[in-house]
Amino acid sequence: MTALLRRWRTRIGRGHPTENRLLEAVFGAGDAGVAISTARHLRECARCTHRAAELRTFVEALADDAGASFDEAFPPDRLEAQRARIAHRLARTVGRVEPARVLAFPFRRTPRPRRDLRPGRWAVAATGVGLALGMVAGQLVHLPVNPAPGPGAGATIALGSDPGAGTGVDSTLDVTGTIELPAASTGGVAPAPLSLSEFEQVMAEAALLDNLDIATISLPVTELASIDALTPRVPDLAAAIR
Amino acid sequence: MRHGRVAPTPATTGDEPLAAIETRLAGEVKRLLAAGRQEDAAERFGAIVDRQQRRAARIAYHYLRDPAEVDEVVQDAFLKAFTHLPSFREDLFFELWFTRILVNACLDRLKARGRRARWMLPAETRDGLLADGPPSREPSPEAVLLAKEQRARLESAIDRLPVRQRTAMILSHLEGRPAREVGAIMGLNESTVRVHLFRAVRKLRDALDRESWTGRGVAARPRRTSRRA
Repeated sequence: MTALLRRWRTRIGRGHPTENRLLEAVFGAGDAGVAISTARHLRECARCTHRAAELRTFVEALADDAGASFDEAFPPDRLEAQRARIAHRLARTVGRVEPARVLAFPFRRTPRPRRDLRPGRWAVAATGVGLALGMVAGQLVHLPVNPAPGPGAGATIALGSDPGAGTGVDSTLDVTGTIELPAASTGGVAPAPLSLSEFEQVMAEAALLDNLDIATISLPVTELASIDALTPRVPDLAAAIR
Repeated sequence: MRHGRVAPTPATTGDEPLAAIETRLAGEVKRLLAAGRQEDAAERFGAIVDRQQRRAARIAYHYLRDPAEVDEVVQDAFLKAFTHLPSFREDLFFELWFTRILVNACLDRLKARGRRARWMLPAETRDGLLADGPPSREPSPEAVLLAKEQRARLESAIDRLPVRQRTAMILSHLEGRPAREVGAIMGLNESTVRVHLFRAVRKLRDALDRESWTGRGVAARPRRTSRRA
């Protein structure tokens, strides 16, 4: 009620239209009689004319700012792209453009023809593969272990020195007085080295056995002739059996 | 609110030859469609698109504020107009008929956005979008920032208006359409449009700082000679 009285006093008492009246006058809204009286007042009152102009400025500023916002968001190239999309969709609508092919999702795997693998073929193939693997594995297992080459590889035993100083050697005795033992075949424990006297003993026994062999083959032994006569001979036994 | 069918505004009695040109073009497209010449009709419709596209994008932008959504809505509106052109009455202005299609599409989008907003968290703020926009012609960074803030406040205030007031505001003041045409688009008579317009401006004036809008000097900006496309 107080507000109504204040509004009435503002409108009637001073004679100046309220802002709402001015807005109605600017936009042509409201009662026609009020609009006519407001317009008459505006012609006479410079202050209210200024207020009405201010309102118009406000409304125009709204339009200007809204237009500037659009110009920023839609530069010419964007509008051109939009125009192209509209044209494309129009062309698609009238059937001038084929619609894009749609890929099926999830993808379906096309069934491939299965090869006829009989169990016998599987067994043959497995056997072949097993043999090949076995050969390769065997080669790997029996590969010789090469000792690292170096100055100590062909170790020698010096006469009168510690025989344990060397490892693998050849079985030759050279003029320098060194005995080269047979080389170790594997990386296992090396044979015990022989002293010079032991080596000479072994060689003497070997020479005795060689002489015995030669004697039994080439020389007649009269002491054994009686025994030989008593011994039956194979051809005689065969004839008797027949 | 959807703007429904209204009392026809005869194209022949209008005093706008530009709008009459589009109506004549639309009539030609309609006849081409009736004759089964689809491709010719589409090409002819392209002339209408050329004339109406910028205006349509501007109206949609006032509603949606999102360029990507504006793109979609404008495309859909043109396609819908083309496919429904056989039902277009040539005694009406094509521009008003098309604007009604466009505004209804924008309102549908806003409704859908409101439904989505109930379930989705906002990805980014409006301020972030504005800050990433292309540079303005304003001379100083402070002026640019001030102008962007001003526009953001204006857009926010317009977005808060009721639908009828917003539509009246956009079509009448931001697009410069006379109240009679706005009434034809909205399905309201002219005086009702003026009332909605008056209420919209009053709310905007209350929402925005009066001094910052009226006292900043309109002469500082170049005047827009025409708001029509």
